[in-house]
Amino acid sequence: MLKMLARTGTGSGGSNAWVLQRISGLLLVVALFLHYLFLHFLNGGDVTWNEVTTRLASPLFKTIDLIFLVSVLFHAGQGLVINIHDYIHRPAPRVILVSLAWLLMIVLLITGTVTIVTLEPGFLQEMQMGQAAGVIDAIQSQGVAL
Amino acid sequence: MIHRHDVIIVGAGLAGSRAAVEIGQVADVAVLSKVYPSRSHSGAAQGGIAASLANISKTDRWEYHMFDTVKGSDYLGDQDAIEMMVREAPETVIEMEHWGCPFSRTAEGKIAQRKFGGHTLEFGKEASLRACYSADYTGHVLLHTLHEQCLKHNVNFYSEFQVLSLIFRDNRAIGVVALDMVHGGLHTFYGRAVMFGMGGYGRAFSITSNAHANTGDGLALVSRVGLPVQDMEFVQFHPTGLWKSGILVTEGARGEGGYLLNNEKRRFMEDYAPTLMELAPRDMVARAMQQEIDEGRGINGEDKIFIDVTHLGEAKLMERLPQITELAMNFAGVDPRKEPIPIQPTAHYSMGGIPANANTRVTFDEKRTETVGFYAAGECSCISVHGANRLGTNSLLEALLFGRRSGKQIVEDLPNLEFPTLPADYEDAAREEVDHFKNVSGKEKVGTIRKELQETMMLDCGVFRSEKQLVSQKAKIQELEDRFKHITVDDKSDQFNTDLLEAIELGHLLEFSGAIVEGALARQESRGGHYRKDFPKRDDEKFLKHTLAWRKGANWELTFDKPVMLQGVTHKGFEPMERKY
Amino acid sequence: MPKRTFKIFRFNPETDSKPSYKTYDVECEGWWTVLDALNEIKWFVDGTVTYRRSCRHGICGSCAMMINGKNDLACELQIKTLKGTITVDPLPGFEIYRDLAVNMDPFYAALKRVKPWLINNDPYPSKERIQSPEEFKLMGDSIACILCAACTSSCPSFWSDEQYLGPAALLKAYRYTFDTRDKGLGDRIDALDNKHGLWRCHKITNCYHACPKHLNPTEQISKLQRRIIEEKM
Repeated sequence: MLKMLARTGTGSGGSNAWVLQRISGLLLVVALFLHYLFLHFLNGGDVTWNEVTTRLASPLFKTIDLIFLVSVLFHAGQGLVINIHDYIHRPAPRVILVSLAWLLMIVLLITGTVTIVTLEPGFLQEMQMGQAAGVIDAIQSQGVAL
Repeated sequence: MIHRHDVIIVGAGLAGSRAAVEIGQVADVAVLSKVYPSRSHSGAAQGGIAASLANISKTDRWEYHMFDTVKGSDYLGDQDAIEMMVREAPETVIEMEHWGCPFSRTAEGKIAQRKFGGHTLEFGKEASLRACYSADYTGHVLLHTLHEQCLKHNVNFYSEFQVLSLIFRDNRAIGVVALDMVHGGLHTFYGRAVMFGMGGYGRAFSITSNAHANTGDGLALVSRVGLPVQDMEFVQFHPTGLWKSGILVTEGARGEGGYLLNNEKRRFMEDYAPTLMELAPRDMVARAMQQEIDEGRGINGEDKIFIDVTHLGEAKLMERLPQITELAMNFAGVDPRKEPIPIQPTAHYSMGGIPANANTRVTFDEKRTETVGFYAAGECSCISVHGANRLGTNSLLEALLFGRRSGKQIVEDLPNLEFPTLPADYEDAAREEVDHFKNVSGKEKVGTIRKELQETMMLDCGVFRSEKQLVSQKAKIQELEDRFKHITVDDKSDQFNTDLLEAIELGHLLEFSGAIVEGALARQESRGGHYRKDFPKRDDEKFLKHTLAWRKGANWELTFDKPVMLQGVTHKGFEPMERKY
Repeated sequence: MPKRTFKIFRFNPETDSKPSYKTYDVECEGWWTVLDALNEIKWFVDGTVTYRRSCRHGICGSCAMMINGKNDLACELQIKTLKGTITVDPLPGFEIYRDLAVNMDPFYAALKRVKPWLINNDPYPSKERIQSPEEFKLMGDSIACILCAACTSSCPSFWSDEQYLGPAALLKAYRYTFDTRDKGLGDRIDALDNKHGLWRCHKITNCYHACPKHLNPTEQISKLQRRIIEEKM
């Protein structure tokens, strides 16, 4: 059973995984391009906390970020599993490591989704009451993007 | 263990594999090979396979090919077999194309063909583009295509089985006994027909282009059951072997304009063939080189000559002779773009072998009487299409074509061949041989005896021969055979015992080397690949005959009673003339 | 003649419980390759050293082994290009029969799984099939593969999945798929479109670096992967 599990590899035939890996890779390239475009070329002036959070909180960007998140986690998870399959030969460690890899991806997916979905533009005011306020102020006054 | 198959083929090169494809479609065939089939030495052939397809030389016909082959053979080739070969060559090559062999192509998409030494149009008038090729690995692609066809037809392969003995009783081939190299242990294979395609005997010489595996096993096996071997003294020495290793530098190096230089940095071919220079036939160039070496004009006084291609320029070298650069760097540690390559004549092809007729049935006397259920094709056979000297690109053709004929003949003969019964002592000879090698403990080493045999054969039975040299070589072989009885095989294991294998192979080398020397001694003439310094002329009166040699005890018995077939099947044949180019 | 030290992997299952290395000092001539040194040891020093060899000029593919950590043909590798002690191991990833000789059966079995023969049921034309030089070139140098297994044995994906076809078999599949005379992709697709087939290749490129004939299986496998996806779409 363990041996069978260890051989499961990257899905039934492998061609779906291969195609998805390429699609997610392509999406990553697009996302990276959008990131640079918006952050460095289309922002029209100083990058400020308020501006960035406002943009990220818009439904369009939430959608983009969710796609980005899913692609990056799928791509990374798949890549990790492939490497585990290539270099870990004994069934038990292989099954454990592959499970851990996917578990990590699922945890990251949940935290990432929560972060994206719950993000609101007013977030900063609440934070300012906390200890980090001074630091954030300092960064903000420098005009540096977070 | 005993294995029963309709047909037992020994050797998985072009001849054996081609026969197996034919037979595998209708009967149960087993192919034994001492190496994995795709590692057979047919794969080493570079230049091409001759067939008068007339894809480029539009006027080419089989008659021209026949003339070239007969003349190349120095008229010792049997013209009936030659006619069959050249006539069936086009269909044999095209069939390989149909099976997927990747041939290089002409602009029109047909099989590409190129020039090769000795192939002409209109009986010597001009060079013919007759050699079908695939870059410079023609043998390789043919062999792999055939092996893959065998896989398709589910041929039973027994790879890494060394055949030890032929079971032959009352003129009938019954089977073979072989050693399973991987796991040890003897296996007996018997069937309704036995076919040998076991390759040549170049390893009898120290400088050879042949593989380590080419130890002429087939010749030793037939002579041990009382069958004769034929024309063994005819060995082709290729002029351009890398110095010391003998690895072949392709004929293209001369063809593209390489110079042969002696220690005076002089193109010595002007003394031997002032018009053709370096482009003279293989045997003539080999003799010229050997003479320079013998007379002290080798490079540094050693047994080497330079072939210089530096003047061709790097661009031309990389375009036309890409392999040479790699070959010289890998195997001689020399960069041919900057320095000349050291070469010497190298034992290349064995014209002699197991006598067989054009139907590949093995024959055993001067009247060509046939054995039953026993077939041979390829370099191990002497159907005698090459006579005293083989033309380039005719070797792949011979192996493939007679492998094919053999397959078809066996399929035709099978209904008339019953399964033979194994004699009681079927395994005895093989078992005695293995037991002897495993138990004998003397002071001699296989490596040392083999080295002495190969070096003396090269020296005294090589490019030039004389009575004095041959008499001394005959004695040397007898001495080595005696010493061989007192060897020790270091390795006593069963599994993958290559030490034992090398002892068995040396036994084979010693067995038939005597026939080469005796044949060379008795044939008091010079013809094709056989050159006697004391008899430099061809003597058709006495020696337009095949040599047959039988092993009798420690000696060889020779006859020159087997006439050469001077007529074709339909062609009237070509009268012997002086062979000059 | 310079003296060189060879550290050779030794294992005889009949007598040894585990493998070991044995060291031999050999006086080597300048032009020798690693195979020449192995022969010198076998013929004149220790007859029990076991390895495969035949043509000794890089075409038969018998003598692939791991030399100083890299797969190569022993017969093609000049000793003078190697520094220090020369360590010789069998091809990794295969069962060891003895010393440097390994069990290649899985390798040949993988080859057979891709149906390595021309598949085309059309009747034969009377002459050769027409194939233009450009079409011939589509096969690339895949036809020059000598089946030495240096590639497959260097592939981590093969080490971890004994059922993986490996670069040599996939290269063969490429050779026929991209032969314009072949119509057999449908017959081969089951073996290729499979988790032990094409999709197991993760572009590690060890095969490319190991190939003694300077072929590039990784590139050809990529082309084959794209071809299969096209076929499925």
